[in-house]
Amino acid sequence: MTLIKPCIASMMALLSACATYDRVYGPDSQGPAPVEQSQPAIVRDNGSIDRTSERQVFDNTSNENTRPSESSRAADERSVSRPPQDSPVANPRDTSPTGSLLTSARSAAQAGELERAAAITERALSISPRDPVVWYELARIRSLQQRYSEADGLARRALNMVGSNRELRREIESLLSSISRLRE
Amino acid sequence: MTKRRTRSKKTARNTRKAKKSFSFKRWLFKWIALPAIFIAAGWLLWTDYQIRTSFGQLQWELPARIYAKAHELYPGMSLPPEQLRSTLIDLGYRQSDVPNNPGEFRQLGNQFELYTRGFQFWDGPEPERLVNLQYSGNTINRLTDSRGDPVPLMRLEPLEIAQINPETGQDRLPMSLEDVPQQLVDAVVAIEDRRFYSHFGVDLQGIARAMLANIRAGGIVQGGSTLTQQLVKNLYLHRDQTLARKAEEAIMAIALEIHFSKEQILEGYMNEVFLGQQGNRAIHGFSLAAEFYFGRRLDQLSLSEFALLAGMPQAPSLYNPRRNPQRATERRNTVLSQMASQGLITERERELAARASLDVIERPRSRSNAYPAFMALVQDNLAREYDIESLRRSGLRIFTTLDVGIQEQVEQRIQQAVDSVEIDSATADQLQAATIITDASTGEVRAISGGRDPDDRGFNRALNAKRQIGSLIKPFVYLAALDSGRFSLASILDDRPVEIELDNGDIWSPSNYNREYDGNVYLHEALYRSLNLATVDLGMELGVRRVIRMLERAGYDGDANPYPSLLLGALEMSPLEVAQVYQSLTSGGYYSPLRAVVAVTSGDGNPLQRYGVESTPISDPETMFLLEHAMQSVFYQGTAESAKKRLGNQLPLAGKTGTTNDLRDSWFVGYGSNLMGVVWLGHDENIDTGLSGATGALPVWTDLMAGLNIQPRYTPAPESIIWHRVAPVPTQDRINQDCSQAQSLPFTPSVLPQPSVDCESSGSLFDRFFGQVRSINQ
Repeated sequence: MTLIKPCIASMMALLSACATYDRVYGPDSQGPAPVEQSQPAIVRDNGSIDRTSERQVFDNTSNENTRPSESSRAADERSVSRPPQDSPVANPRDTSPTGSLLTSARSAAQAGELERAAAITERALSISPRDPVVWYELARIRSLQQRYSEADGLARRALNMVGSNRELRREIESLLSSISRLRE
Repeated sequence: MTKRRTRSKKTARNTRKAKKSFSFKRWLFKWIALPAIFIAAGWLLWTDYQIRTSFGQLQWELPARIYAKAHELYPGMSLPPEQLRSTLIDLGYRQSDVPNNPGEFRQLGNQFELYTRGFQFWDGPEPERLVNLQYSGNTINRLTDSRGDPVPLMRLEPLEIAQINPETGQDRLPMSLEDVPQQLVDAVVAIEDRRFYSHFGVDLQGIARAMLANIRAGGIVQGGSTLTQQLVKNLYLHRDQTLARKAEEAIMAIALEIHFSKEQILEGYMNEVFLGQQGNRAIHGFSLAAEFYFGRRLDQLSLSEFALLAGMPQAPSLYNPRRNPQRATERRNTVLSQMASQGLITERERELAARASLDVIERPRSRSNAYPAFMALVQDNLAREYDIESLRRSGLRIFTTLDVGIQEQVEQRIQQAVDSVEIDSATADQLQAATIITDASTGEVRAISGGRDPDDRGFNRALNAKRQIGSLIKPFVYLAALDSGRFSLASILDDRPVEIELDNGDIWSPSNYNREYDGNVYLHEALYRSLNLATVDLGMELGVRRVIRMLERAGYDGDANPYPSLLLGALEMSPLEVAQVYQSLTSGGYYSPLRAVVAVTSGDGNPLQRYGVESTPISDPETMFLLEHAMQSVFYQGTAESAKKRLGNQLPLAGKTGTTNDLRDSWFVGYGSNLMGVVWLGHDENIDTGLSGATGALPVWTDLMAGLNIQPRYTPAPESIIWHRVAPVPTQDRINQDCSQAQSLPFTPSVLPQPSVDCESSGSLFDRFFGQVRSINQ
């Protein structure tokens, strides 16, 4: 009735107030996209891997003879500083930079954190790019991740650098043959 | 309503005059007051609703932070002390007589005491720690922690080299209130809004006091704004101060206080407040300000530093401790006095803090302009998985492969190096350059320059200039040949003029660079001397498609036509593409995609994406070894011999020159065991440079690489390699064989030298033994 007009008028005013609001608050109220939505999926290890078998593979092959020969081993075991990841140390005597990183990488792999193990191994690679053991370790990790074609390339590269270390050569060759079996 | 209506009926019964005046009131009420009330109520509700939702979902836009490769430190590592020192300064470390705070160091002769800040890397945390570092010459020979125990290795924090900022330019490191040190909270509340915990968003007492002070002073000297009002103003309102804006601000502040706790409001304020400016980058929040001014984390600051920061919001530019240290000190001491008078600190604490020096670090380098050519590759790599909006807003941390030391050296030297080879610098179209340095084993990109002026933000030639590669293609022709199992380094090629009929009927008649020809040449010599006619002879026998397939295995993903001219490099590639295919040679025959980004984490360090090293064989190790032999001869006897003297004991290295028709492009690619460098010189207009690969790009390459500690390539021979001496003159005729000056070359057992040149009549057993112990540089 008589109140309809004022009501419409006030509604209009309200609407225009909203429009003003958008101008004032627009940029802020849109806000940033939530972090979770705007990022790609976390890289996961390919496929599901039986953790126990991983551990076995690692235990079987973590052979001390395959440590880099350049490792300078500290005589005093007590004074060994833990590697940055503070992992249970597989070979506490190996305090060379590469050796301590490989130790960390192994324990990461044993804990099932394969991509982290790969990252740590690649850190060792940047320090000792011509150490076949490091390439071999990386090949093993990729093999555990079922990334066989990558594992194959890395293992071949390790083999190419192995020189006169027969034991390491045998290990790499056996990894290569197990990769080619698994790829079939 | 009913009451009003009865009352209006009653008045309607009165006089006409009264009725008339009444109807005006009624009109007033109906058309002005009522709508006004509606509007006001609606606006209040709306404001309230908006505050509730927008503050409830408040999320900061956080720039992506881009980091260089972190420095590893370990005993045995070669890193000149002055370089460590400058790295620490770049990282915002402060020199201190007694480093007892993270981010401080001391150098005493050949010893460093260093307190690192720690960092969350993709692969795990690097703890903050105090270490002692001892040098012997340029090599770190001892690294121990504070108890004297040896540290096998550690990483410094990575240098932040760039940000991808939100459009607002705002940068901050948000933190929750419980992580903000109480003393800072006390300081802020004491100086900005001492009744913060008791008011309801607006502090009437404060306003009255401010008004009184303003009237007395005859101008605005004090504001009565509460922290809540300031927060509302910064988040939702424009900066201009009108009365209406003030009212809006007050209402919004009250709404905020109704719906949110004091802690939530304080946290918002702590993260929002504007505290400085660096170029386009606006420093917001105390957490980032702590890094910006002191190079340390907020929880690592002292009382005097908290007081300094707490005093800044009122006038960040006026109280900027770098620009106005005097005013900043006065303001800090005012804050300290306020804290003392409110009983938040003792008089003794105030006195000590007021006497402290400001200790701000030097202004950090601007993060928006550095290394444009490298950053373009980073953006390129990221674009595969991230859109620009998520980079601008989600606070990602991007870990790159950039070696700041190498990049800076390239930037310092490139201009002068190009100047020294440029023939005619007067032309309007300046001689241009592009450089890419990569890690020889893993394909990580260490440095890029996109022009002779490395700060040039224009055309990035390293990524985008597609030019003919000339003789740079030859190693792939020869690799394809050796890989086919039909050729050896001593195969005899025909270096004589040739006419080849093309598919369209045209005749192609290539010539050598010096317009001469050699007749019979050994395959390896044809490569290291870069002979065109011999290469065409080889390539035509092999088939152009085979060469293309080899290039593709090495990482070329363009669309090459199988024309004979491809054998001499009539193929356009960018310097980056060249770096990619040569990477497969430097790695000893493994294709590894070039990478500028290795990992991405969230802002709080949670691992997201990682891009690891890959390695796919492109040929067998024996074949690669043969090629390597010829590529090293390029420096000893071939087209790069002119650099031999300067490189001295850095040899053996491997490399290849490249020159295109009419000297339009001058290329050199060379590699040691640790690094590979690609250098291109040419004009944007694609005109004559007057330079060949050997006279232009090679000296520039040598200037750059000699300073970069490029390491010799001692490549051990694979077990099956056999060494044979071959006659100096390649001949098909056995009778003329002259073995008095025979040279030793490596061979695979399947392709030995032909009898007419083989100087080994017997004793291949000896050779097998010999082949195993020697390395190819002998």
